[in-house]
Amino acid sequence: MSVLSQIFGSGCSLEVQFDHEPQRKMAPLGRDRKGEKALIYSDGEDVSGSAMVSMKPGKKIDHQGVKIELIGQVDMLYDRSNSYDFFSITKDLEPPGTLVESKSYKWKFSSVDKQHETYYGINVRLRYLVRLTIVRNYASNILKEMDFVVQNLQPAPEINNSLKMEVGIEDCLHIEFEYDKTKYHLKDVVVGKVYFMLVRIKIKHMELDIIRKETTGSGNSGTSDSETISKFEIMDGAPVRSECIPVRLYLSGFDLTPTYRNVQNKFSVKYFLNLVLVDEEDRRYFKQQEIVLWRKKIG
Amino acid sequence: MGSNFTDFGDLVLLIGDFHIPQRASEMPSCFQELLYPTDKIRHVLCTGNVGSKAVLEQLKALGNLHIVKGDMDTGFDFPETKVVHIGDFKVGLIHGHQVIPWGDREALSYWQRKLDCDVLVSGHTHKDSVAEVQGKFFINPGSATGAFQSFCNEVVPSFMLMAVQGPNIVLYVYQEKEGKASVVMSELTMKRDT
Amino acid sequence: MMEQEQERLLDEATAVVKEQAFYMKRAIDNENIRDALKHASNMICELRTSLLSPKNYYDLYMQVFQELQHLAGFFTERQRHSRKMSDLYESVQHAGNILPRLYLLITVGASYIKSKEAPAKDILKDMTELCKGVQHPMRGLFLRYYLTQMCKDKLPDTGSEYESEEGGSVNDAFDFLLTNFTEATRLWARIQHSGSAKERQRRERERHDLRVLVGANLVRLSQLEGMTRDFYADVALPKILEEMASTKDTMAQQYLLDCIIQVFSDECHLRTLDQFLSACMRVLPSVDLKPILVNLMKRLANFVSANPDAVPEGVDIFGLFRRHLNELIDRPVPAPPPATAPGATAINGPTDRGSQVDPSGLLELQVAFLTFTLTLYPERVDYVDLILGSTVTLLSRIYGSPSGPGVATNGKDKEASGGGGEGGPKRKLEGKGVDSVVELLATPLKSLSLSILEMDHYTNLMKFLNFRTRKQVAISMVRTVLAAGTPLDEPDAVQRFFSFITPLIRDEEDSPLDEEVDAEEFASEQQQVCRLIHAIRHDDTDQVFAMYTTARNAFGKGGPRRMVHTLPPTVAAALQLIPRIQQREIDAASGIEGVAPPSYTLKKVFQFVHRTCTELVSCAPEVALRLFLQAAVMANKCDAINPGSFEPICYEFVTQALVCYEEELSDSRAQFQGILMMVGTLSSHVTCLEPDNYDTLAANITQHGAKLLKKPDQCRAILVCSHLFWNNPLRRNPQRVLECLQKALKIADVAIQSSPAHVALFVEILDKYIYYYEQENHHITVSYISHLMELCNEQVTYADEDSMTEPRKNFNATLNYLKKKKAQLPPDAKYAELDLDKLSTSTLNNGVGS
Repeated sequence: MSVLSQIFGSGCSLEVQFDHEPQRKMAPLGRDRKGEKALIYSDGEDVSGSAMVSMKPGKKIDHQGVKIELIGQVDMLYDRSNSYDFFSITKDLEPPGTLVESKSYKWKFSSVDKQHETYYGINVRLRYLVRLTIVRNYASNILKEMDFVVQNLQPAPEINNSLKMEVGIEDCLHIEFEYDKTKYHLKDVVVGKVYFMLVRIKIKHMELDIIRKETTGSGNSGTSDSETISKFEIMDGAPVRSECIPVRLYLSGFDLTPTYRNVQNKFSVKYFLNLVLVDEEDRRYFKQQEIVLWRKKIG
Repeated sequence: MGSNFTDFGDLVLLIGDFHIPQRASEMPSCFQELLYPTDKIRHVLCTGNVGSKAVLEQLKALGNLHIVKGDMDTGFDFPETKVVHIGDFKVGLIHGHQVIPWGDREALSYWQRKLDCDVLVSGHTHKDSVAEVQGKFFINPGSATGAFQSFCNEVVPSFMLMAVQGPNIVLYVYQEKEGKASVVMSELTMKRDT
Repeated sequence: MMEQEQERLLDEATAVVKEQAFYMKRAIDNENIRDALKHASNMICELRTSLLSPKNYYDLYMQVFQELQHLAGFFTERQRHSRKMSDLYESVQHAGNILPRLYLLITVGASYIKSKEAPAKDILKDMTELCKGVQHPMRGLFLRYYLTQMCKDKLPDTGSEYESEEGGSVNDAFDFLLTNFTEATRLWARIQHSGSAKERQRRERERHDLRVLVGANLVRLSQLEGMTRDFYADVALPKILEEMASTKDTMAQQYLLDCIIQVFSDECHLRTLDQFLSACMRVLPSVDLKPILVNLMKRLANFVSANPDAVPEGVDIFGLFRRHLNELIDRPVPAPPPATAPGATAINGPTDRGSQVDPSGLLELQVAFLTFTLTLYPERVDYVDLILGSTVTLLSRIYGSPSGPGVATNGKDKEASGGGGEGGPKRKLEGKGVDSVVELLATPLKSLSLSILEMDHYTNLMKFLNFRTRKQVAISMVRTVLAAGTPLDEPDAVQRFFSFITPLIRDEEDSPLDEEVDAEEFASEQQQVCRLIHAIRHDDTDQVFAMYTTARNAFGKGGPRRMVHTLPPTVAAALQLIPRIQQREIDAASGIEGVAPPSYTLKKVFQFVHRTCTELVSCAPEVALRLFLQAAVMANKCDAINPGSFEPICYEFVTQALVCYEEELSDSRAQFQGILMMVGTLSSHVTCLEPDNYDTLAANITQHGAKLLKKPDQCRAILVCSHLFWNNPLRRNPQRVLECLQKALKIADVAIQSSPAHVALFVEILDKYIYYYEQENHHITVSYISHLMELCNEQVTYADEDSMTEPRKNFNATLNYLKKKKAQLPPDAKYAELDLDKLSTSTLNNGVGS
């Protein structure tokens, strides 16, 4: 923004700050988790802060008003036009007039409803931001946006059955696998076992992958993308009949989000455990099972 | 005893009438112990009646064997008599069944003259003896096994060792008594005709 | 090529390990746990290879193992990394690759146990379970090995610092080791199925090399403090055996059984003998139980010999082994070495290729069992017999029964060799088994000596051997008895012993033909047998004679070629018995207390001698003649004590000697010797004969002497016969002596016509004259001597061929003898009239000159 303002010589710079207690957790922005970090808020929490307009000496700005907005937005990343604010609150900081000197404001949104969590996906992004705008008539507005992250704790699921299933290829491979739960929190550990009832192929190794499936749109126009979050080898070599291989997969190491179902009719994010057997000729035999992820802890 | 042996020249073993296995199983073990570890014996003079080839082989192993034929040596090709020069002595060897009457001193004397020897060694009677008659020596080593001899009442196992030095003969007579070997030494000196 | 490739692979892997280990250690120095784990993981990744041979993999493993100890050390020092062990334990589990993940888990886990921040048993169990993720046989085996190595000193064993209510007990330590053992065993057994069938042999060899990785678990198990005998018997062994049985793998079962014997204590084995042996019986037929059982027996024998009290009450070691070994023997087919199609060929008879059945392994086992039994129970003849019996059963099934009906049973066999060779097995044992059977027969002989005679199965077992081997066994039996100096002192024992050595005693079905027999070897064997006669000893003459009779009967079946050897000693022995029997008869007659008259009287013994000598007449006449004469002398001795009673017997024996001479001796040398023996005997050792009888015999012998083929023999025989009329004090007849000498002279005179060398006869006759003259036979006068000397002098002086040397020497010797007699002081009056001077000059000079 500052670059732009210099080109257009807007004559001022904007700044937005969040009030926050020092222990408030932060989370990185963006998919690669390497972006700048932002503060984490949860549903119903107040969001407050300050906004500053710094005027360059000798400049003045005529405006139609200065406002601050809190916006929840779903962006389709490959279709810029398809950005949708599912949520927006606006507060006026200054009635229309002329700014001749630097000025700062306090702002506060109380008990804001933030039922969706921040999400950066392949095709879709859900973000929350606070936007400071100087509205102008003839020129483009001057704005400053500041993202924050929303994460919501979820209650432990009341029903959490183990996941057990027998699969196979006739006369070739029969296995039974079992995961202790169907619903895991993000720092959980998947415990289970794979029992070999019949092995007639030469297995080289077995892995348990976590797959994230992101669906955007709905119906016929919907698209779906899967990505393998992790590959975790759980067996080396070929087992014999009646061998039982333990499974223990710590989820904490991976970049996971809770399962999101039909967020604003725009997208869903689901997770699967994919049990993969690879034989000596590198043929892969696999079985995917959905697991539900939920957030037990902020951060 | 062993050390005494070395003081003399060659030792001569006088032995015979084994009759193994016809009349005895083996030599008394005390004799075997005496004879078999020694290498001091140069000549073996055997009066015959070995009984088996095994005994013959044992004797050959002991030293230079001179043997004559006994009455029971039917399967062997031994001479009837033999004369051996040992030191200054001529020693005649005969089994003794040819000496009739058996064991008779004068009959032996005849054979001594016939063999023209200074010492006549004979067996057959199964009774050891040493005698000097007119400067000639008559030696009978007896039976080494104490073998049965019908005309003899009690047979005591015996053999002899003879050491020759100049005109002297030292004779060791071994007898088995209650499992042990006893030895009696006697010295014989030859009186030369002048 | 393969080798080089392997070397290269190992070098490459080693380089990586070294490099990563370097970085790892540097990170440790910097207390950077994250980097340390990363490099450790990279290093461990080299163990993911499938290309290295077991040996090279082991090399690589050892390098990694060494390096990981640095990491383990680092983990143990809490203050350096200030991480909770539980966190560390979790964090290493995030690794995506299973092999580095588990190696790291074990490394942390070991430190975790050491920190005591969590119960040892839980961590051990967790690691054990997770290791299942590696199913690759070799990698899994090494991983398990790593687990055992890292944790072997961190088990909640009895008395260990890790033992506690939470930390666990020896049960947990045991479970840990057993589970790892089980898993390792399964992985190991699985190696055989990996890879192509073509390389199976190499793979099996490599697998064999890896067996210690499995055994390490058992070794550690055996070292548990809590491994009491009870625990071993009630918990440990059953589980180990169960695992062993479930492998269904020959090599594994073989190795594990052996391993159990090696690593656990002998006290444990004694306690669980039945369990263990039962398990042995249930293993795959292809498992070679021989080395296993032999090992077990060796160990137990050593142990029990040193600690006789160690055998638990109620444990019948012999019975247990016997029962289980019999189970093996009773199996349908003694397993042929590799698992070929079972069944078929077993007992279908000798005609087909049934020889495939090879009992040698089982036989070797029997040998070991026997040795074992004799060590533990040196006195138990019955045990040995049972073993031999089992062996007979085994062999009967392959080769046919050793005998038809009426196998000799203890002490009741009708005839020493009854049924012997005829009822034998259809075929004889061959090959390796022979040595075992020989050993089975020889071993008890060595330690039990004649007690073998009490055994029912000894002879039956012998029957499976071919003649030559049977004979060797027999010979060694004879030698053993002789060497031990054991007396044969019981007629039954003699009977049985002779039945044991039948191959030496008589011809059997498979005895070689005469011409195939080495005469010297045969003689030497028979001479050994003869020595047995002298081993017969007893205080009771009846017993002794009964034994001689038994021996005699056995020898009687041996045929002439054996009898010439065996009968003379029997006769000599019987004759030697005579004085004892006579003494007993006298003692009994005079009422000495405790002396009963003999059942076998002197007469019976003489009959026995007579019969036996008669048997020898046709096959060994010279010997028979001498034995008759010996018997005559003995009869004469008896008669001296009991005058008149034995004269007929004595006469009969001399007569038989004469008959033998007449009918069987044809060789003139033998005839001459025969006359010598008869004259020697009669002239001085037979005194009891009636005058008529004596005269008849003397006349007969003299006539035979005169009928010898050659003149010199006739002459000398007559000279010898002269003693018949002089030396027997009862029948001295000077006239007959003179007649003999004169007859000798006549014969010599004829003889010298054909050869002047016969002059020696004259000298010999002269000597005889001198003998009788000195003996004071008044019919012999000095004038006879004088004439004879002149005659001799003439002959030896003028006939000067070389052949004269001996007679001349002899004559000179006689001359010298007489001169001495004359010269001695006082001179011998007998020779006063004799003029020697006219003879002496020429002949003596001649004598000296030669």
